[in-house]
Amino acid sequence: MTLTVWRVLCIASAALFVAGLLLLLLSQLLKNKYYHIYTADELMSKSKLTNGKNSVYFTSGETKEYISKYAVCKTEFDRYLVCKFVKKFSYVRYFVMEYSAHGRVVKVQQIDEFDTALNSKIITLSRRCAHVNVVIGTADDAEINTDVIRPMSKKRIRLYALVKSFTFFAFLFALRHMLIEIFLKDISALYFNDTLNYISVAVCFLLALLSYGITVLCFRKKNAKALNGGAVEYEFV
Amino acid sequence: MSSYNNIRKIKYSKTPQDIVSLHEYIIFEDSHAKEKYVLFRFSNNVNQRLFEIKFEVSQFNSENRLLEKSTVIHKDFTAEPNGLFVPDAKLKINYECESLEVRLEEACFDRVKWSGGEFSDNSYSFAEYAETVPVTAPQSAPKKNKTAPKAEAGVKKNKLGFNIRNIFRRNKAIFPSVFNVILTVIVAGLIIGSAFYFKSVSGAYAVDDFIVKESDGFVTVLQYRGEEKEVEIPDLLDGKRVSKIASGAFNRSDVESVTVSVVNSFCIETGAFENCPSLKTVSASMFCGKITVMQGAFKNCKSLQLFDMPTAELSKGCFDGTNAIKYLSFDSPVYEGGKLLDLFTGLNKITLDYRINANLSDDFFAGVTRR
Repeated sequence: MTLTVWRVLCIASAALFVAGLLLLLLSQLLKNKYYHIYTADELMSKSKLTNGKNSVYFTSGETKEYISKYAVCKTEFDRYLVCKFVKKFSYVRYFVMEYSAHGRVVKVQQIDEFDTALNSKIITLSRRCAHVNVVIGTADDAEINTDVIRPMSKKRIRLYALVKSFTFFAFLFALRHMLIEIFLKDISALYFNDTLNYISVAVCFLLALLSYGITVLCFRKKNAKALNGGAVEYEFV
Repeated sequence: MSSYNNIRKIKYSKTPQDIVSLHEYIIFEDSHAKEKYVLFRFSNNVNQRLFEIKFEVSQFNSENRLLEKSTVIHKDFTAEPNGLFVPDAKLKINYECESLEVRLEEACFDRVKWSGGEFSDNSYSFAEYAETVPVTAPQSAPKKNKTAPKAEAGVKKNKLGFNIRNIFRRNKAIFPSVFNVILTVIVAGLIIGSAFYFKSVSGAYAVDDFIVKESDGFVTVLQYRGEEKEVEIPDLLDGKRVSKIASGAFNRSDVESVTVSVVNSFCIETGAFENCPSLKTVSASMFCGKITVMQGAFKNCKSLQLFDMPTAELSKGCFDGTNAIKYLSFDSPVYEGGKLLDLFTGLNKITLDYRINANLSDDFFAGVTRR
């Protein structure tokens, strides 16, 4: 193949790299899926404070049996949440799902409280949070919901890894070409006709393949750990 | 040595739901001086730093009768979020006092102020906000939900009793990205290494429109990289005599005409002009040295019409797939006992004009019709 053909391939792979990156960013393959669907809770009361306002809502669904209502305090810069328990619990776990004004989940907090009073502790909400849903997890010995976030499916993990490794290969291919042109300048055309060139392409392909394997492995391992509540110690993975 | 002869530690569990609650207190008694002091241990139950508290202390005697009430303010300290803290100062209390009751009046946090049951925004005081950069690491969650309450309640109860963990972005796995960065560095290193290796091994360098390689005082043309359609192979390149056109030197190039001006002996290697679709004429003067044209040197040059190299010795199949040729001039074939048609592959007859220096038998021209 002539130098021109290799240059065209380099430009094409650079374009594929950019396209792959955009695809990874925009396709939201890693986006969380939820067991819980947003419910507009019934507003009980609203009161205005000096620097903000308090809104009290009734909870909905099975949560009602454990947490009767919750209050959201909105000040100019900060938002807080306090839940009202139906009774005192020796241990309670609940999830606070924070939604933006457009209904997108901005944060999910998992809260564990021991030996509670009838009110929860004060929970700081995200500044982008416009609506809240409280979902009960565990109350004393009763386990109602283990999680609100669905584990990622194998299919999505594989698809993500495939797009990522393909993008990575395109990047390596373009990088390889550019480095050769930079370092060999006039005689780069000779290199592109040499066996070394084809070996380097093969190495790039094999490394992209390895990257695919590692990505799938890490995501599946992490996902499995997250299911067992071990996400914290797997921050690096 | 301590002068206190009676020290009692008392757990306090009256208002654990307060945003700042009294966890326990220690009464220090000095029976000689008839004095009592108390040291408080509070729990900050908000996930913000606490800078100031104001609380009311009610003192009771052994018959649970109120002895006195006092308001205490603790300032100039920092209590970590969701943690226990002990204010520096001890409080002197009535010697008859046996138990205490504490009621929180005010608490000043990082960004909110709590006073009499209501929060107000404190976030304008940026000086305090700026001090809150180090944040405590989140506590790990219970390992198993079903067994966690009993097993962990005891531990957590005394320590925090409260744990918040953001579980939103757990799908991010950082290691594959880190691994890719490492691979990129490795690949870049390998490519640069192979480039330098290739440069040193090939010994190639660029002269004018040619990439050449030197050996034994002569240069070999490895590649033509110019844009000109009419190319001349000079006698000297970089001050050295040209001895060879290497395989693939003009492969798939757009040249239309090639003129060889080499004085000494010269070789056109296999595939040197392979697949040159625009190549029409190849010529050399009769004063050139001996030119050896190897097999397949002009393979698949579909437009080649004129080959005029009076000093050339042609190998079998040097014009494979080159069937448009109309004029052929050369010195002699390299092979013996063959035919002119052997220069081409798969042809039974051809019509062309030719001029050959060597004396050849009529058999050599079998199947050739002269124009």
